[in-house]
Amino acid sequence: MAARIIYVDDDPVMGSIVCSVLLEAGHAIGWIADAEQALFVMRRRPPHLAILDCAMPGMSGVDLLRRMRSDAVLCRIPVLVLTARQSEQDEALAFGAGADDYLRKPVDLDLLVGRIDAILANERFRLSAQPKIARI
Amino acid sequence: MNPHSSLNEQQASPLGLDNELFEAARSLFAAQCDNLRSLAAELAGSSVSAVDAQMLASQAHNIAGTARYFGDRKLGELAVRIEQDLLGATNDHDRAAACRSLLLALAGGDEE
Repeated sequence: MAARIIYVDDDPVMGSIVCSVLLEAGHAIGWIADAEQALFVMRRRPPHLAILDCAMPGMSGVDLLRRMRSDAVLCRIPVLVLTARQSEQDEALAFGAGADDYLRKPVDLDLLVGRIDAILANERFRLSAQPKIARI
Repeated sequence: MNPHSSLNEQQASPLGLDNELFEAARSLFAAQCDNLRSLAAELAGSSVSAVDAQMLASQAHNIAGTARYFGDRKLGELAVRIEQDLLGATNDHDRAAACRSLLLALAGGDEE
């Protein structure tokens, strides 16, 4: 099912690749190179999923994630962190900040699409199950 | 030999994509490599400050994340290691050595 996805990464090469792949997979994708600007855009129209790079000038992806998790409008948006940082400490930091998934660049593009579909499917299930769980 | 001959070939993208966005990415990647090569060449002959090293590392970081998509897996792997060397170096001499390694990697060779 098509989703509205935002990708935040300062590298235009990666931005073009990810947009290319996700458009091909049938999603609506917007790429933003600046984390502050991404916050502004997401508050105006929250996406179904955000993909965040870690290493960006200014606000990092992990700081953006923390801001999202403390924001009433954005706190429930699923977030996949996609980064060229290779250490497990960086991965732990991202999950500690509230990431739903974490992939290292250069990511296999089939894997990226698969993980995104899985996150979106889980989110749809969670939303559909919520009223039933509330009744229980 | 052109070390980045894969950039000039119309090879299939990793998902068999053949669209304008992917072609734009290919051109941008080639430009990033050229820019980084020029910067590294300019700095390699002199002492490399921590600020210079940070700038080189930042650009190497981007190349590390994308080189594989354009058929240059080895450059991507070298860029990861050289980025760490640039950021971990504590003096001008070590930073200059990492800078020369970067130049060599961008020319299609290994520093080892």
